[in-house]
Amino acid sequence: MSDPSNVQRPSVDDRPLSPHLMNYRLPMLPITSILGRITGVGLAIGTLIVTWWLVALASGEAAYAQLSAVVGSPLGMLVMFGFTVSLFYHMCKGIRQFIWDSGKGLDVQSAERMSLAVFAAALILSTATWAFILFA
Amino acid sequence: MSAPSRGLKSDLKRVRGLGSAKSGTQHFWHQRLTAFANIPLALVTLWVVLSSLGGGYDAAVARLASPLIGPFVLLFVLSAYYHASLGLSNVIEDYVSGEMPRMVALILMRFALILLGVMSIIALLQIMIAG
Repeated sequence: MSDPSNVQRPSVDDRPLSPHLMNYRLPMLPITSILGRITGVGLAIGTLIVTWWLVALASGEAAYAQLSAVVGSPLGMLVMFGFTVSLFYHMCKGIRQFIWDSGKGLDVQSAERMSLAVFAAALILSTATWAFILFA
Repeated sequence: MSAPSRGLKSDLKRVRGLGSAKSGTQHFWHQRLTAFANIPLALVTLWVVLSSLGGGYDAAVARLASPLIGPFVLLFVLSAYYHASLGLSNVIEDYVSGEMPRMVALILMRFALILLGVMSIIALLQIMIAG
């Protein structure tokens, strides 16, 4: 057995570190990917709101007024804003996925350009929707 | 066939055997089909919501009761909720470990979405028939 004190240990400072969650920034493509999944889960939970909307309309004016009050509250508006942003982001990301499924745009440059387009389109569509809701 | 086939199954049988999930590319394909259908259907549904915002209860009911609009919202419910079920299956399969917890999560998720779907469709039919 060798004497452990003879072993050359690298100092803590020059030890190579693997990318760590706290200091590793995801590249754009993985960010768009995980956002697609997060918005998808959000939208799936949003089926609760869609169901509530339809059931309230079928139940009568009182139920609909209740729904309107909750959705119209500041917190409700925030949730609905998240819902619309998620819808448009997920939709645009899905369209990008269709382009990839067709075998096009798979090189890094096109993929990143399409990712920027996804963000831009989601932003524009959400802004337009909420401009309509708030000002029309 | 030059490639050695595994076991006693022929290549054709292996392809038709649809892999360990027993459903082949059905999940992938249904996800894409419903995604495609969801684009116009979600936009119509969003339009129904936005266009009836000012008019209150009566405007929303009138929109959904219209035979030109109601069916699209009904198809949206079918397509979107099914798409949600397919997507959440992926998420559960990725993040829930252990055979039993995963299966329980999958079953509960599907039951929940089926319940929501049936509630939505019955509500919609009520609105459409009562007008």
